[in-house]
Amino acid sequence: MESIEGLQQAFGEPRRQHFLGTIRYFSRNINLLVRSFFPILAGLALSDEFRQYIEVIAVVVFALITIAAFVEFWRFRFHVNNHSIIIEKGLLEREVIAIPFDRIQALHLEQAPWQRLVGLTKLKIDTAGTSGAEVDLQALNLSEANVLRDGIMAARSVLASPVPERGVDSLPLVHLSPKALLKVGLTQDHLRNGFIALGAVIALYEPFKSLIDTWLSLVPKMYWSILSWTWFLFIPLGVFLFLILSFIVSSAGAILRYFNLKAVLYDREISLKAGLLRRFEYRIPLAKIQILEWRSTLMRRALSIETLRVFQASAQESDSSSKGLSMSVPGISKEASSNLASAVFESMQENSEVERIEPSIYLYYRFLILRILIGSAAVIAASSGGALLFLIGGVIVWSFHSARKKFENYWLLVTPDVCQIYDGWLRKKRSMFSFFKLQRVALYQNTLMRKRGVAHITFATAAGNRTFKFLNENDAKRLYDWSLMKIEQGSRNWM
Amino acid sequence: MEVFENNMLSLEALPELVAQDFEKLPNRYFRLRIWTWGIVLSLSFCIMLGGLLWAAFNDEVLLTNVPVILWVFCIAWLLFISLWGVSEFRGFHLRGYAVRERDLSFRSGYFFHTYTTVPFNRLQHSEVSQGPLSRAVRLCTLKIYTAGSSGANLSIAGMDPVDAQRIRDYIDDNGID
Repeated sequence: MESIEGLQQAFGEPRRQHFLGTIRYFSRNINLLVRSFFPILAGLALSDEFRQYIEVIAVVVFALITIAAFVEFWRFRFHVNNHSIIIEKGLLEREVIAIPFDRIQALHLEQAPWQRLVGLTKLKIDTAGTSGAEVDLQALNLSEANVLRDGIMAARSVLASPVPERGVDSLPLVHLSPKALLKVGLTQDHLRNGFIALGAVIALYEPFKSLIDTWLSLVPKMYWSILSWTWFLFIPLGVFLFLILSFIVSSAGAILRYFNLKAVLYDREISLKAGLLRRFEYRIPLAKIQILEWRSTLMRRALSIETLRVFQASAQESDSSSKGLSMSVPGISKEASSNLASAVFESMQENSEVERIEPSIYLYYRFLILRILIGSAAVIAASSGGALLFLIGGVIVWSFHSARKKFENYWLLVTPDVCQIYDGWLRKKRSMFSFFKLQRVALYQNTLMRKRGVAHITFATAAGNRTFKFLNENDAKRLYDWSLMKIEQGSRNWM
Repeated sequence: MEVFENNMLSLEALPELVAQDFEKLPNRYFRLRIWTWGIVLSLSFCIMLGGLLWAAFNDEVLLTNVPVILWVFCIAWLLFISLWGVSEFRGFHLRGYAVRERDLSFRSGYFFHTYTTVPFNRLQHSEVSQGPLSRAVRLCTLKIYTAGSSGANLSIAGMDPVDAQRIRDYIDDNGID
């Protein structure tokens, strides 16, 4: 209760952010300017007339940006009343945004390196409906931000229907010690990160093409002629460099991001703190969690850790591939996972009744045929002669094995309230959601599937869709009717 | 918090959606779709026939010299049009909606068949839209939005405006709690 009164005292009157918030606006404006006019700027930098006036132009642009940042800071005011936070902003026209507390999904604190030096923080406000509308508070004193955050959280839980106490104050989920952090860093998806880094290098090469060409022309002709004969010697070196670089880049990225990560399960929310340079603190109320998703690779399973992703409602279109509005907790152990799952899905432990639903055998045939076709096509394209038969034999054996494994690792685990989708063989994925939090359900069949009596089922949650493919039609219809019954019967709030 | 009862239900006792009778869309929507198909068919047919005739009467391009890729394209196009026709003629009676006490279902598609159900207590808002053409033939599109994605989650094209309004009124009265 006292946190709510403190909230009213501190933020009842309209007020501005910390003055240093202008720095954030300033850097954002510069960033915006450079990004939107990059091609023009690059072109202008080469023209001589432009260079003559470059000082004048720089000063004018700089002044304009500074003034804009200051005005934006000045016009941004916010305060709270009993049930919502009200933000007034707008550079030229005035905009007033009122966000009711119960519409706020979560409040995140994020500290950029410079903000940590001066004890400021950014407060991100996640709402379910307003995608794109920027309502973040850019700079607040850390203590003030904590008052605001805790106050809003407390006020909201008073407004919302009370949730039964679970009698647990706090339960640490993950605490990444340096050793555990190293584990997480080493088991990153190095290859993927390497390719992303390579893509970035190539994209950066384009604007600086002329510069690099001038440098390269300084290299004597003789070296080029040597290079043209011996280039293939550099392939292993290149591959080796690429592997090492991607390893370093992705490990460093993980360490920067997840340094000193602490995930704690509280009575009604999960909190996550991490970061070496940019420190962030996320909190998600348990009731707002729509989907829990665990992913693991072969290496991570060997170290018995998984990556957990917590999905909350979002306005953006998000399927299972895109990130949506989610919070990622790396290096979580089996035990912590089951603690969290039973906290989020309260009825989990009471219901002993579990049904395992397996997909139709047609899915196996489909995996098998696709693998054989694609594998053979690749082999035929790459080789010829006697090796071909041998390789095709290998492809067929591997196809049988991997299709079987993939099929065996794809199933649904259903309790009366909770549905879990298991997927993947080497790279495993497991999604978990409540039936009553679903938004809608859909069945899908094409002509062939209808003849064979199989169907796909799509469960749509407020945080994105999850589809289970090639179910037997009876199972699919059963699940469909069951989900509808659960949604329509429940009077509990889904978000 | 209220006591939440959760008695085990036997699955046979659940109301089954799939066996239910779906409400068909008005016949004039069928005619509109067939007209669209017919117009596309006849237009493309005219263009192809014209091209062939032009080739036949033109000395420079003989009918036997028409590149293979063009033939392949023509055949693929005809195949597409005929499959489209099959799905229109045979698929229309599969298209329909069902309003139950607590949800709205829609099914459609011949080759790719979809059932979707939106419970009324998950509905964010609904929308009825009508273009100039559909206003001329007294049809409208009912769109239903739920949380979690940007587009309409269920959109029923070719409804009678009166029926659509009835459904919206029903939702307003009973739906959102």
